[in-house]
Amino acid sequence: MIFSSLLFLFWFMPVFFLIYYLVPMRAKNFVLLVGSMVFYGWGEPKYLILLVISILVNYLAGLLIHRFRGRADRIILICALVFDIGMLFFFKYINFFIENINTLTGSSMAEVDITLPLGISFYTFQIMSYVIDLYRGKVEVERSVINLGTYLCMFPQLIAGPIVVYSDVSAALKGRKISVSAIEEGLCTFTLGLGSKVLIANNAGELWRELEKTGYENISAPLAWLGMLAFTLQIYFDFNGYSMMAIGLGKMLGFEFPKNFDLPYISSSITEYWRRWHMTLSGWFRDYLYIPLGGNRRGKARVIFNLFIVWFVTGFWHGADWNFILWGLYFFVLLMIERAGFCRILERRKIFAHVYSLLAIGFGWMLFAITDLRQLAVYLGRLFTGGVSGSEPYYLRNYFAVMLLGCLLSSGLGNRLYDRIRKRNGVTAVMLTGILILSVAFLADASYNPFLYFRF
Amino acid sequence: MVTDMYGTVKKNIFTIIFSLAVFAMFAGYLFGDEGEFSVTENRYLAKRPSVTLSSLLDGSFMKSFELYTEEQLPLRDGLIRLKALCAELAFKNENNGIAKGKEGHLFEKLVNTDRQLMKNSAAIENFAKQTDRDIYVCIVPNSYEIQKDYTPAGFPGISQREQIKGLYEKLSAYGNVHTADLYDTLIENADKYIYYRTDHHWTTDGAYLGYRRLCEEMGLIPVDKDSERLKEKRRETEGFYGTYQSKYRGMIGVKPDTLTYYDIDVARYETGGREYDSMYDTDKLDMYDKYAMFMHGNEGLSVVEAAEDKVKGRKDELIIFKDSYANCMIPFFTYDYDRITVIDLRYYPDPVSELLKEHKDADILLFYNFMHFNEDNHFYRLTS
Repeated sequence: MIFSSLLFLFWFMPVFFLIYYLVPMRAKNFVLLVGSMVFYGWGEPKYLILLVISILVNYLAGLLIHRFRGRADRIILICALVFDIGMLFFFKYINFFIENINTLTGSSMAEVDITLPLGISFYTFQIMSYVIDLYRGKVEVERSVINLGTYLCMFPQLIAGPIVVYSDVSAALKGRKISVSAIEEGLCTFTLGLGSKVLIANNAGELWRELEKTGYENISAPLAWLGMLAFTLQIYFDFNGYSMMAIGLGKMLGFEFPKNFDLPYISSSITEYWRRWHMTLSGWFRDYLYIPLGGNRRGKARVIFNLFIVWFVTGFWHGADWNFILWGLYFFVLLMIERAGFCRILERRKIFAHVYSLLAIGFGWMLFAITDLRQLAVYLGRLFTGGVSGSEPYYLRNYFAVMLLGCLLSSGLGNRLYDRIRKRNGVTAVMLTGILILSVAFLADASYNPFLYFRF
Repeated sequence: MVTDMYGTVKKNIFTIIFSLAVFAMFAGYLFGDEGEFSVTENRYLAKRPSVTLSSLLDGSFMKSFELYTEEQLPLRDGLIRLKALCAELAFKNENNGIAKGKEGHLFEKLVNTDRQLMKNSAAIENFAKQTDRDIYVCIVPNSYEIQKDYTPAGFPGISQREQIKGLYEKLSAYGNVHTADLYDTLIENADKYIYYRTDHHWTTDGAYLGYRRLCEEMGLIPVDKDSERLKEKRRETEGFYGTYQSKYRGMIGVKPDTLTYYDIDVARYETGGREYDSMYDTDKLDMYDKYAMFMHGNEGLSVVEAAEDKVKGRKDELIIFKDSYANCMIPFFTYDYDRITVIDLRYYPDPVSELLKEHKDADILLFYNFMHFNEDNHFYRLTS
């Protein structure tokens, strides 16, 4: 199930929250666990079992790490991690490797007939944070399998993040207060996220889909640039919209999830961009990969090597295909250039810095969006040699409103406006009600409402 | 105490609005009347599915339930219209793939050919190879290709003319295939009312142009629609909104169409296993999808036995493989053939080869509009 659907809004939400608020505190985790199972199992009933196995294995590993503290905890941790990463590897990457080994060696191993379990990359990273932090002594052992299960498959962040590490919510899992004002705040955030996804991302994304249908070899240069802008806006408003919906729903449940996006497109360098984009993922890689590799304490060469590993894995995490690896390494190269001194130039020339960052981000999205490398080359070619086709006025007319709105909102204007009217509840309520009604109207006639993270 | 209450309500006003809205919709699903048929969309709507263990396990229950929540959404029609209005207010002239051009003309966009097109063109070639009987082929371009003066600025549509030409060139390799290119005759009349503004079909006047061009190719003498005997049969119905409008749904500047037909008599008309005394289903004129009045809609097999006075050079029999574009043209052919067998491959389950054996001397016509030819996947049945 996804949040931006009529099913979620008008069936899941009323039924689930009614039960959740009515039952006493000690039953809330259980209700949340069952509700999340329904939420997940709705679209992927067969992969519920994976989720349950993952919970049980890591729960058991947690107990054992605690029990054999100082004796065998390291080996148990390694076993748990091998299991977690092994599951992720098998379900997400096995066919990628088979395909590439076949191409390289000319062998003909059969591909495995599996579809990627929804959200596996997200929940694998989350559960790993529990066993690793437990081993490090950062968190207490979780003795209740219900609590650990609730943490792992809590529906708001289960399928598209933010990546909530166990220490973020371990206290709230044991006991939390749910106030009316938290529900109000949560609903406001949820509705803003819904509007972000349904009204802006879907509508901007329609242009991108249109170019895919037209065929990249047929599009003109202005359209190719417009398409790049469209996808850049779509992915941000889609992903941030999901995160906001998740954070809002979390608040309504009594949890405080970490922020995931902080106006990434106002960055004046790629270094800054990655501090603002998908913050929970960068944070996870920092804490559970970069720092364990030695971080920046082992000399220059080792830092570069560590960063290379981190960016290779970051790219690969986003999808089992070469273009995603390329996308990760592309950022590695840019970050290296900025580290080598380019940053100082960017600091002095603000306008140039913004133009450079936006272009670098936009090109990055093309690497991300077009999985076929040959098609990617065609698209990049059209950006510069596409000429003019005459259909530009049509697309400009149909997309300038949503693009303009998207640009203004991603510049931070919307946040400032919202902060200003926030204290005036009447105005906020009217605006949010408008967003809610329009979102439902656009869902009622949704010709295009994609879920973009099925590859994650 | 009272001010306290007031303060709480005021502070959490959106929670109240949101909850009321969500629970009202939920109640609407639970207790509201389920709509059976969407008039504007001309189709049946999904009903709430019942749960079975097997449908739960294989996920089909979830899929049909989701469809149900979409199609039975309370206030659905109003919400869809609200979306269309928003699009118009944001200066868009396109909604759901339908673009509004000048003077209320709506157009369907086609930015690339479908993969199916190559298969369909190969299917026709295979059909031509299998027989040495004469086959007439006619692909009608859709409105945007002809009424270019009415399309919105920069309207992106592939050249259907070139695609049709490409097909005809391929078919010219077969001596028994004769193609009829309608482009010139339609473009000469582009400023006339030859396509509906709000529907994807051509008008009866457009179909008459196609009919004349076909007669030329088939060696027939066309009946004159301006002759006294046809003029007096001409009937018009106003207030027709078609399939383009049911997708577009915006109201600003959209004008309803006028549907025209010639009340031509037949001796017998059989379609979908039932017999009628007219090719027209005039009851449909009071409904939303008025175009369905022609030939009583689309059925797998229909047979027309002509009653009209003969014109010169009249022939015995014609078999038409067609889509709905042919429905308003077929009546004209009753002046040229005693018997017309009409096949819609989408709904015709029997082998075509048997049919051709039964009608040894019939002329064969393949007649489709370009959009249909581009994407329909039943052409392989020609060689069944």
